[in-house]
Amino acid sequence: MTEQRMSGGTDPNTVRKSMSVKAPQAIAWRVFTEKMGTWWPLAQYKIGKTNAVDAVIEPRVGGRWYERGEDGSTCQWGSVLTWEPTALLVLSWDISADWQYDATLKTEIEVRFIPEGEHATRVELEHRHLDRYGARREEMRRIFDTEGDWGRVLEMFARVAAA
Amino acid sequence: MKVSRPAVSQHLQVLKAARLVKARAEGTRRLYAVNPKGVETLRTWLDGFWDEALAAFKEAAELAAANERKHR
Repeated sequence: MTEQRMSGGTDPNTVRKSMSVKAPQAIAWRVFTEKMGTWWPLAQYKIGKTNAVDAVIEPRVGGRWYERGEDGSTCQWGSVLTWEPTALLVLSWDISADWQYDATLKTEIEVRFIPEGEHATRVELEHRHLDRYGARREEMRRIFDTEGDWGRVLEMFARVAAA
Repeated sequence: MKVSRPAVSQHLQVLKAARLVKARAEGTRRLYAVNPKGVETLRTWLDGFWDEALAAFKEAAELAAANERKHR
């Protein structure tokens, strides 16, 4: 399981996770970036209308990060901001409060892969700039106040709850 | 919304657990209101989300490493 880093207290605009993985750095990097579809909980965490079958990170700065549906359609989640194999990955996460892609949102996910000897890797993840949702708080409230969009939010949380 | 009353009630319980809504009792009714602390709620949700996603990643990475060792 992951544990939260204790240093630095609780930054309300950042989520931090750190864990040790029993895999060499290169394998940890490869599974995270090339084989995301094998571990990402696609059944619950996707934004498209069809069932998602893969999660893809295009391996370059500026590449897209997206889900692919069973019908071949794609839904973008964000893009690659930093691509330094096999040590550092920064992605933008542009899923808005109403669970739609919004290229202007740009919360950031930084993932560091730090070797712990030959056979293990410390993986540190930081999801930051959550305050960028703050500017959209009013929009979020409007969405919650609009019955039509409640359905989507409820559906999302029902999926989480059923997991 | 074409959702039955018990289903809505159940959904609201989920939203309450996720701190997206707050509930208060008024007579025999329970009134729900949106929790204005949107970012805090979102952060709580993302915190749990990353726990789940990274646990799955760890499992996949360790399986890949074990397979590689086996085939060496």
